[in-house]
Amino acid sequence: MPYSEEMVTPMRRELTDNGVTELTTATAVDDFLAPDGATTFVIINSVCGCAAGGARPGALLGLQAEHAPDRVGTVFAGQDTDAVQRVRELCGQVPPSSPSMALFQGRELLWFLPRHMIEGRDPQSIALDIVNAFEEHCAPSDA
Amino acid sequence: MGTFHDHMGELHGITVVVSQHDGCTWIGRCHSEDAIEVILHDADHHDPTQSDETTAQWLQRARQFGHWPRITTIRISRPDVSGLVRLAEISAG
Repeated sequence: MPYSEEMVTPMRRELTDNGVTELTTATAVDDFLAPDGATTFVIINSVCGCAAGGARPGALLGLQAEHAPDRVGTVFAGQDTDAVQRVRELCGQVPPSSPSMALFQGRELLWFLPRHMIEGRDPQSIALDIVNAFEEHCAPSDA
Repeated sequence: MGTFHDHMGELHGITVVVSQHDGCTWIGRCHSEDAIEVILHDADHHDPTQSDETTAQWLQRARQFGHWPRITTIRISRPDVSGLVRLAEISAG
């Protein structure tokens, strides 16, 4: 059963107020992750206080990296179920968890940060993992 | 990092690995643990006698991508437990 929107709205806005595009339907996910080769970072948001409290500020901190993805979107687990399901389909054999984060090129999954690597960690540590992933996958190649 | 449930133990809400004396292993989100039992939510189970993967292989895959939440809740008797650690603390293979 979804949480009340009144409770969830501040958790959505923590991301959307900082330039992250909210995706609430499967179609919106498909349109956002259009297979044009662009890199897209998707934050699977969650109410969970044990992990999401660090996930959101960690993601926002990571997005300040020099080499950021072309697009940044978010879906909300337990709330926007069709959108979340579509992201999970695109993640292939990766088990579902939330909060979590995924980096795609087109619709190909490049990198995934599962919930257990977010739990109990401070935002700076989470951001460092994200920055490292962006450096590996979003930085222009020297060639 | 605080949680919404400060009255619970420090592992509440954390994904843990529970090893058993019989060689089986559980991964799940810890609800609570005490001298009586460990309670996990959204858990998965590995039995090396029933799997093509070794315990180490199964744990490495879970460490990298997460685990499948196949069992809603499991209560593991504490005398059966030989180890309890965070999944994130399992070293990379």
